[in-house]
Amino acid sequence: MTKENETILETSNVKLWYGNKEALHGIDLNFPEKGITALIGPSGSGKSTYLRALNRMHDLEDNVTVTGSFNFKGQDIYAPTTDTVDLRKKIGMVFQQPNPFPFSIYDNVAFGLRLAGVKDKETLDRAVEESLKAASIWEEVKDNLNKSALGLSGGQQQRVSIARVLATQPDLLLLDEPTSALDPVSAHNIEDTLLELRDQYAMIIVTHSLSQASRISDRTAFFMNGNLVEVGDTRKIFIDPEKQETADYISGRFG
Amino acid sequence: MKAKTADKIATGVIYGIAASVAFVLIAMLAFILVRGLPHLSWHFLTAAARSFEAGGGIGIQLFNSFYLLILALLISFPIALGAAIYLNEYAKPSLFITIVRTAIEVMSSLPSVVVGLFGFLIFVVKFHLGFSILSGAIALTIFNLPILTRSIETSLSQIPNLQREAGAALGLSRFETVIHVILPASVPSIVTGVVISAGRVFGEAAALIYTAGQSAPTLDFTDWNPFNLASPLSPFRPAETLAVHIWKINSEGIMPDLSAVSAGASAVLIIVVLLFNFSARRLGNLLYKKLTNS
Repeated sequence: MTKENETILETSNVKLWYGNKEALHGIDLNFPEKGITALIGPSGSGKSTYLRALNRMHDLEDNVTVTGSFNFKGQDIYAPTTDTVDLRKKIGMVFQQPNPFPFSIYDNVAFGLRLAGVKDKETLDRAVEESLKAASIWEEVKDNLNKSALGLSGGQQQRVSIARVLATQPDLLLLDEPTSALDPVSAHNIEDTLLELRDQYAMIIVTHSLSQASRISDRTAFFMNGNLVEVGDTRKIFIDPEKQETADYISGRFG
Repeated sequence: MKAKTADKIATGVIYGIAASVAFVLIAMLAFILVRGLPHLSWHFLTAAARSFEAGGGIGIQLFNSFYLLILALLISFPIALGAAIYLNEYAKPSLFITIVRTAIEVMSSLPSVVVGLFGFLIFVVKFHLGFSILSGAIALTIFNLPILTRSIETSLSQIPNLQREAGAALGLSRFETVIHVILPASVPSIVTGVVISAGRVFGEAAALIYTAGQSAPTLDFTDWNPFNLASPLSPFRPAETLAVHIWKINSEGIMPDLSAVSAGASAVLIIVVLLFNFSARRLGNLLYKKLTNS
């Protein structure tokens, strides 16, 4: 399944401190232009921390220091000249908790485009429909686009959140445990959505579910104690890992 | 068994205390309403006050109260909103922020008569604004600002952080997140806070006695040019409000139907404040439904 494709994001020697405590100890990791990379590892291994460094979400917190190089399509993510607002339009993010805004479904999905200055009703209608279709929720909500997104189920809200991110046409999609707050059926729907998107987007997903990583990802990276232990084709990581820690984690001996 | 008995006694005592609080409020309201309601009439609500003979009304005072309230809110709301947004969305812990917060707390416990005397010395005397609606509105702003700021800040802080992250992750700047996500989501509770503070401002007397003044010159309700002193809209005319009127006639009124006027005016004041309080939550809920289409 892995195709040779260009690298969209290169990170090297990524270190991160919460105050004086070093949480990431120098991560080197690259991501291809298309397909899903899963970040797995026990709680506290630094996988979410690493993910949130990629679109500078740590900027919202005090006391966090990030160093290392981040090359996103030739752009240095942490350069002083980088506009985080611009950056986050290109690197979209979906969170653990579905977090639709308290507006209608339509307004949620059209939100990013409207902010970007799109006013044409037809363009918006088309983008909303396409995004909701891409997030596999169009059929469920097409007759209720003007209803509040808060009235949807958790799984539906999460897919609307994905549609909202897709509407702004990001190059890279970060997913921080997008199914861990959902019931199994909804989680399954989200996985299907991601599988359909993987030919068009680069996606990085943090997940606690090994079966999820094995089902949907092309590559898997195993994190432990703030280090990247091993990265490679998902098949290889799950069947024939190189490191003993990886094998132990995969076979459920800890974590 | 012993623990159970103790629990029963404690529960009873706590109920009793809560009931006595409610009783004091209800008794007071009933007293004011029973005394005041018989004197209410359209004439009483609209006619001008009379100083020496019976049959006067509270029309001008009532209008003044509302006009002052609106002006005070027009001045204090934008300032309070800005301060609250800064404190809740932007401020990072620092000495400056500690000073601002302490200042707000001290301001909110200032006795209103002190605010009134300060307003008198600064605005009425020093800035030559005289006893005027404008002086009164500024005094009311000082009186209202800390409470309103705190109430808006609480409204903002109730919006979960997820919404801020969602905004940021969509490529919104902090300001855009505040304007497009946080404020719309908190409008209902902000409105509730504003209306409740309006009730407090409406009934305020001490801050106005030496700023908006204790006289209610006759108004010409056909003249809406704010630059004419006889116009109801003029911010430069003295304006006795309802609450000040009640204080005034009880301390130095000489009209024969003094107690009737006082009782009637008190009833009107209480009814308006109650209306503010009851409508606050309904208005907030209504707005929330409207904004979220739920």
